[in-house]
Amino acid sequence: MTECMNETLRDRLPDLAHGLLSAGEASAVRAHVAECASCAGELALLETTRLVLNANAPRIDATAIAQAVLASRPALRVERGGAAPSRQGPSVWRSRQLFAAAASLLIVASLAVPFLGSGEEAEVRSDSTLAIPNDSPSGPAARTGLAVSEGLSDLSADDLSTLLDEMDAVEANIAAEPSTVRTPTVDTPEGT
Amino acid sequence: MGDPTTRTHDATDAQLIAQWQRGDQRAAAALVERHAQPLARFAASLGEREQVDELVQDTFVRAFQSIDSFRSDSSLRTWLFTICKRLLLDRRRSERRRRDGVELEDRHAVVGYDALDALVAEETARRVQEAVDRLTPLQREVFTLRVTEGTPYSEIAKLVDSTEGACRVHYHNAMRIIKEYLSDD
Repeated sequence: MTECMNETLRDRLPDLAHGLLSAGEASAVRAHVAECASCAGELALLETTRLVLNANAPRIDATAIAQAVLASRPALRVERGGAAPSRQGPSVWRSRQLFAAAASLLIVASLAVPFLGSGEEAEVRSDSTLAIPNDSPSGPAARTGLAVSEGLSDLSADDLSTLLDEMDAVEANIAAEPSTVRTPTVDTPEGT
Repeated sequence: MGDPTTRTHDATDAQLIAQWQRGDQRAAAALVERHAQPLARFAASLGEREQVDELVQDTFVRAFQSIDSFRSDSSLRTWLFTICKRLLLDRRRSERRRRDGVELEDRHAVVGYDALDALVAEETARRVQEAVDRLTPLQREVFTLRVTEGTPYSEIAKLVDSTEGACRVHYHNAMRIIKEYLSDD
């Protein structure tokens, strides 16, 4: 049998078999198939081949696979904002968050200076970094278990990332229980 | 509101991805169930018959880990097929290193397709499968994607790293070979 010379219509046969054509396009292709023995035979062969290949494909349990995929990767949690954890280094967005976190902590720490109660005063440097004694019992860095030696500027990206997570947790708590949050009254030290 | 199951069933891939990224694990399960069997068929078209479920599972794990890298310029299924193919090539490289002598993937003919099992008894079905097995790996991959998935040539070209025109040629050559084989009865 001579193959059909209308390659455009021949190319649409798999689309017709899969129902991917619009009503108008499907009608046109069917009209051609009704008049072309070659395309009619090819369409029948397509459909038979599709059935055979589907029948012979390995059978898998999609539900079991779904459960296994979700169970095997508890770290497939989703960060706030919709981005999945990345194996690569911090994205630009993440870097900006870290910078913003560092700035926020600087402000918070500077406001908390009068409330450091160990008896050792924290020194506020003229360059705005905050030096907190290693054994300071309070302050946001101490709460997280981080050893803040010289100042916030010495915190590593990982430490800042941890602090950021802490801030997220605090923010979530604030969002959940706004009525329990008391806004402290703080006297802002002069010059900061 | 509607039945959540119906919503998941009717949702597009993009919608399900967005739902999963918001923490809806049912959306992830729906994506797996929607694309798992086609992935298995695709793996079979590449000549893989062993541990296909593990390959499919690994594909989804990788996909969910790197969902951020998915670009909507190709369909999700094509992207999954690409991941699956890479994993399969990695698996074969590992096996090749172990067995030291297996042919490279591009020349890896489909071997080991045994006679049809009891599920497929028709003589025609057997002949059709034989005909498909006689295709080159590239012809078989293109042909199977077009026939079993209705994948457009633009997507196939990305998968096989070729052009749409070349994929059309591969498909029509494959069809001609299959017709000739079946007409030799």
